[in-house]
Amino acid sequence: MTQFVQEVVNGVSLGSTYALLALGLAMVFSILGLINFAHGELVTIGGYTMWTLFNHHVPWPAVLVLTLVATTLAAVAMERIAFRPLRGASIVTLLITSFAVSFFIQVALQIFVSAEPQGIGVPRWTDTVWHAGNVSLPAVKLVTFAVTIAAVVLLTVFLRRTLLGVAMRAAAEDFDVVRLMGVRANVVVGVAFALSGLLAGIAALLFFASAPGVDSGVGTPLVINAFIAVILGGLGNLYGAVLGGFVLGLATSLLDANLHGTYTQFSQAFALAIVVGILLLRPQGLVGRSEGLT
Amino acid sequence: MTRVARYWAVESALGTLPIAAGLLLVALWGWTWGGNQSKLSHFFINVVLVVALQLFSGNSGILSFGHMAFVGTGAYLAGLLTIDPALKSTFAGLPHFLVTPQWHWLPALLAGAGAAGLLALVSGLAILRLDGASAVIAILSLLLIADIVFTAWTAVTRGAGGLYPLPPEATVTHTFLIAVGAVLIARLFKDSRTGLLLQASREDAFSAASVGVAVRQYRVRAWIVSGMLAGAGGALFGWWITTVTPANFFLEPTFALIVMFIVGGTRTVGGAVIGAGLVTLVQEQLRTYEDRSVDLGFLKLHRLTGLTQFALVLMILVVMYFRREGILGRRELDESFRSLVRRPRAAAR
Repeated sequence: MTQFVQEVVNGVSLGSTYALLALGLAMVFSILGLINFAHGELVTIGGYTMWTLFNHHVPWPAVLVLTLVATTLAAVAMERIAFRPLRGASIVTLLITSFAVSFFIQVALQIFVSAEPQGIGVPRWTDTVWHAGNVSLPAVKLVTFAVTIAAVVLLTVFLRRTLLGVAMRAAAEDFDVVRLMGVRANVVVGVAFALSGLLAGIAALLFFASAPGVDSGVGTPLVINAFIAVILGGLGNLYGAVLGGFVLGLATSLLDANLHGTYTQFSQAFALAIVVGILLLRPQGLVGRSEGLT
Repeated sequence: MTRVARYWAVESALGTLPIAAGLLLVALWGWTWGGNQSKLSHFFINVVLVVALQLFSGNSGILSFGHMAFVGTGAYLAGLLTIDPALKSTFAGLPHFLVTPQWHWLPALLAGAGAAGLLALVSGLAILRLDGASAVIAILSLLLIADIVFTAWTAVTRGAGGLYPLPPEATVTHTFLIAVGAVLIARLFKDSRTGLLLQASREDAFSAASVGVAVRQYRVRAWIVSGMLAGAGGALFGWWITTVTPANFFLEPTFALIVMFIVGGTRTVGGAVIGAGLVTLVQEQLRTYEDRSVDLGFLKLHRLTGLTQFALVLMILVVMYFRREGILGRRELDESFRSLVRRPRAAAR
């Protein structure tokens, strides 16, 4: 029982990171129809920002703020430079372009920053572990979960209570009509990217607080898992994305712990197989509406 | 009815002549040149792989990120079937039926293609029930699962350390023959009834389904044929690179394959071949520069890791921004030639 609780704690924490990234992906997708593969590179950029700042002995509250600023600006720049010229292109064009942007940033980081993994000198207190009975509760994991929930709540408030938020929700339904109502398209899209960058920045802070280090490829597995979470929840559905993130995190964690011997290495493969299985039963995702053909 | 069938098949087979002639010229160069032929073999292998991708993605409109799973399957099986048994007996845990055989390259290639086809059949029945973005992600999951299996199933694949040494069977002659065969199969498939109905579903899946096109069934057929071709290409790839590691079949090669597919034009077999040519050129020419350092005065770079990748990114971005249909666009080479010849006559009337 204790072990099971421990696995759930680990799974929920892992799922929180996926959920934060999935939320950003889903938001951009719902408005632009873009599956942004380069979203993972925002996390990488966050990681390198943290590495640089901690190396220069910047106090951690400043690192916190500057990392969020860096990822937000990177996301906005990405939209302005790479994706705005392609507004309205097909989903495949957008997907491939985002793939290219992702590789572009990775190569640029490899050539201009560092080809080897770099350890980040995070403050010691991030290693704190609390205990409840026999279950160990690392502070970072609890904080990750709490921050994820807070981010979802704040985002909900923003989307429901502010004019811009309502415009964004409307844009997800029908962008053209929103523009006819006098809402500027570039503002809506820009804010969507900025928010996705901010969420990626939060994910980066939480992820690198416990990750061994940062390298140029660190974003790829993260974004792939976030993708899977988004699809699992129902493409473009924000709450579905969060739910998908948690389901994927829990499945991975439970399989990791309960498979025996050599099968442990295959746990991610089983998790993916489960996801494909869920999609076969519900192609529209856990929360989404059915729009599929077959 | 048979006369009509023979007619389209002959016409579309003849339509591959410009491509076949181009490939033959490259091969002739290789046979007479005698220098570093591995670059030419690489080109022919890339042709097989991208034509396989074109057969599925070009006709169905569903972009596949998963073809490297088939390529890997073909490479590992064909490689294991052709490695010297004396050497294989030292591999701990390799199943006995894989230790004893030492096959000729062609049956081994067909076995690789068959295994990939089997994987395509099983995965296709599940994955291709999905549509749109879900299908893309499910296919991506296939790639991820394959990578995990290639890495973790060390008894057969030797894991991350790699399976070696594979016999260097990927000669210019062998790769050329398979490349021409692949082009022919892809073109015949494209012009066949299944291919045409699949293309109809690519343009508008709902309309196609409404007039009785069994979209899913045709997609599965294309997926299987495409998977088999990719498996055959994988067998050649293994013999070309001689050390097979899981990284050979993961994201970077997947991206290179997609660049080949997109740059030439997704709708045509000829475009796929042109894309393969351009990407091979970039891969082979830039590889030697990756280990060099650069000193621009204001900027010193120790290694240009990922230079090839960078060039591929630029290629795809240029195509995406300026010519989204790819170099060839909608028409095959022979169709373009024909329309060039016909146009003056039409004007004269």
